[in-house]
Amino acid sequence: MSEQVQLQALTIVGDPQAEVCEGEFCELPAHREQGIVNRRIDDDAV
Amino acid sequence: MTDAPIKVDVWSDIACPWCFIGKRKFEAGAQQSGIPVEVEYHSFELAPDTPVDFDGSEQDYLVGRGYPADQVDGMLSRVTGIAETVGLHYDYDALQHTNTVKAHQLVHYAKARGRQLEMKERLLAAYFEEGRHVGRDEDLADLAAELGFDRDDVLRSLAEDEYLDDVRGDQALAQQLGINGVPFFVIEGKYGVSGAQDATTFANVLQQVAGERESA
Repeated sequence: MSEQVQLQALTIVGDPQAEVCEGEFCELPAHREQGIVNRRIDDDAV
Repeated sequence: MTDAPIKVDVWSDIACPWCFIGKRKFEAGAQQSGIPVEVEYHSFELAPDTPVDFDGSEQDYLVGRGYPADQVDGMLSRVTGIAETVGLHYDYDALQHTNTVKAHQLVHYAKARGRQLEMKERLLAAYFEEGRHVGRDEDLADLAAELGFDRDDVLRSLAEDEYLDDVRGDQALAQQLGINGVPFFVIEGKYGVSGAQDATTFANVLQQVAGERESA
């Protein structure tokens, strides 16, 4: 493990929609956006 | 001001299509910036409950886990297309889905011998482009031997889980840093860059860090 990695708050830079894997299914940005929309619809419904 | 390379810590998995693509994009960004970097890879298991052996394709695996077949096919097709744009030739028909904890240990084995980057690259190419198995000790030892490592010593290390604590340590640090997805790049311990960003994004943040060093 790198000793240079400090446990401090990181400043996040770059495109928040960049492709990333979370779990075994690596969704594409469009799917993540749709997922967010779906969750918002669900929230509104509640 | 210092001429020391900018430190870049990268959390990634082997079985992570965006990690290999992001690796290429980061390398292009670093080259574009002209700024020297020191890269260190850290372990991150996206799906630690994945079996070592699975008899079927990547599509079969994901559909079996409950994802809609058309969504899986679309995702794999698009990932393959994007990989091509950075010179990577993903072969999902040949890919052998597996657990990556042993592969992560092998990366640490190579790191202890100053050759982490070579091993990381070899494992990603073996998994995504060559249809090689990267979950079993014997297969991993073969890959290591191709790079000139002592095959028997690699087998010993993997059998003993010699570097399992290092893998777990990386994962614990990721959790403390709030890293939920990969690839994730930590630049100079200060800036976090999530995902397979454009090369220009990486170049920009490297230039920003270099500028901050200049003015410090």
